[in-house]
Amino acid sequence: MVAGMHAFFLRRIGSLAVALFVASIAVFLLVRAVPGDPATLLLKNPTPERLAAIRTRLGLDRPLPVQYWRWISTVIGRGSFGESAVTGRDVKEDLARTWPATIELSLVALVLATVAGVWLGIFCARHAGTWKDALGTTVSLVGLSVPVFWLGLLAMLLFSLELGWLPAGERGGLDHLILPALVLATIPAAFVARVTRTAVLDTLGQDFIRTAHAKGATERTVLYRHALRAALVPIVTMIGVEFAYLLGGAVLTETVFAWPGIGRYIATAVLSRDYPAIQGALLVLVAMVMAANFMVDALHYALDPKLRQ
Amino acid sequence: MLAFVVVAAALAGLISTHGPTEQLYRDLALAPPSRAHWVGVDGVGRDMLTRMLYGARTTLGVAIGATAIAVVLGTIFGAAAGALRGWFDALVSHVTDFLLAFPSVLLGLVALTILAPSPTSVAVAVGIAGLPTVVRQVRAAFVSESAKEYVLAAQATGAGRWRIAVTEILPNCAGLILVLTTLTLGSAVLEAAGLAFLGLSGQPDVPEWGMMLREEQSAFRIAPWLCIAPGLAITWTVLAFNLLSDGLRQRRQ
Repeated sequence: MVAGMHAFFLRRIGSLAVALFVASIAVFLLVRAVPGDPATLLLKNPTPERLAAIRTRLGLDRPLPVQYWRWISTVIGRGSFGESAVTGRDVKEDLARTWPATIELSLVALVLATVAGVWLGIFCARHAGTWKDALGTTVSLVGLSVPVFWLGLLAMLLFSLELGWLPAGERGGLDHLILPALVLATIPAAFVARVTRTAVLDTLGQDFIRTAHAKGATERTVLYRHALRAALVPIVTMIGVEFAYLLGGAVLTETVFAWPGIGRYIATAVLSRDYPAIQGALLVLVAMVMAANFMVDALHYALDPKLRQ
Repeated sequence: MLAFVVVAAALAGLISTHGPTEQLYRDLALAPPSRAHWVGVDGVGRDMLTRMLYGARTTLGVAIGATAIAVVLGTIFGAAAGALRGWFDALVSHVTDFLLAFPSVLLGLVALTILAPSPTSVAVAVGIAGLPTVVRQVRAAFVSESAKEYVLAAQATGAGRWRIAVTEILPNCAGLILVLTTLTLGSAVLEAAGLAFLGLSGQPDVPEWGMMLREEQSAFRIAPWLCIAPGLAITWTVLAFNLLSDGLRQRRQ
């Protein structure tokens, strides 16, 4: 049993390392795929001699694997991604400042989305076929269709500018977190609601539920103790997917609310074609997504007895 | 619901009385909705309704282009992986699993760092971002269909793998591919609008709903209708595609 667990996690960590390696090559090649090379991008008025000089200095005249090796060894060895081509600041410091803000926002949104989504999903499954189910299903479908940045603007207009209840954007205390987290949670909540509804409806039709009813368990016990427990596996899988949506949504939500996170950072970097910043932010995001997936796998393993065999 | 958007896009030139980029009403900038300008006038004096109608054209164009890329390439890769199995399948499955872990907006952003900004690039970026989902679903369908009797029967008659994949299995996956198409159309609209909102749609003279939101958000407090209209249009269109895809899925079951 314990040996099985070790093997499972060793395998996962192994594939994680391979995936990170592939991702780092992809991130490295990304900038090489851009028309024109980094030397042309660095120089304001390039002459052939100056280009050649800077190519030698940056090692751009060496073969690609050598270049990759040099780049990745500075990234791993010194944790350095170089300086931003636009602001001249150290990308490492920018990233160190921005990623906690994104984690903070995403985690709060993740909790909100999961609680709201699971609740709505159970609500719909319980009233399956009635107008309540139809209402809930419609609400979640609309939730899937609303652009987050627009929702953010509307929420800001209503709650910050008109009513003055909450601050409009930027990071700060808990009150700064409420609007962006709620807005960011909308789409994942709608997804979780749909998955939960299907999963709970599926389990409600199974034999062990009939048994539970037959032995006199109350509606509540059957629903929460038995049906939801069995429906947890697809819901947990969904949370992994959800986290990816959250990081994507974070790019837009952070932009609307001027939230100083990595999402807004990368959006700005792409807009100004600031390649060192793009590379650094992408690698950090890749690592974040993979860490999240790893944790979901671990949770999966804890929940699903079939995986342990 | 969808017909409404399609008609708006198709007849943009006929319905609207103004040009989408004409700045005829500078003195009317940020004017509220009126009989002459149903959705008001934007910050630089352009008729907002006209821009909304032409925006429908851009949005649908980008969404259809992106979906075509995602569905055609996704079906080819998914079908090939599901039909051939072996190392090709393993490779395709690993790459899609890897890409699926990433938010599609991020994949779009990455694609746009390489491509020159233009509506075509946005369509390509959004299409690439939608690709992994289609590949995975089509592959799964091919794998499960391959075990069915009609496929075994075809194999018994000596038909080759490619022949079976194209003439036997593919028609049976048509329903799924249709559902995926409508689903991808919806998410493509949402995503293209998001990228435009970030300022990556490229051409400022091509009206696009997401870009309008970006442009008008500074005037949000004074002229909220300029922001409400494009957002509603996006929600309406995406909802229409999502409802269509839900309906199609239920009919398949």
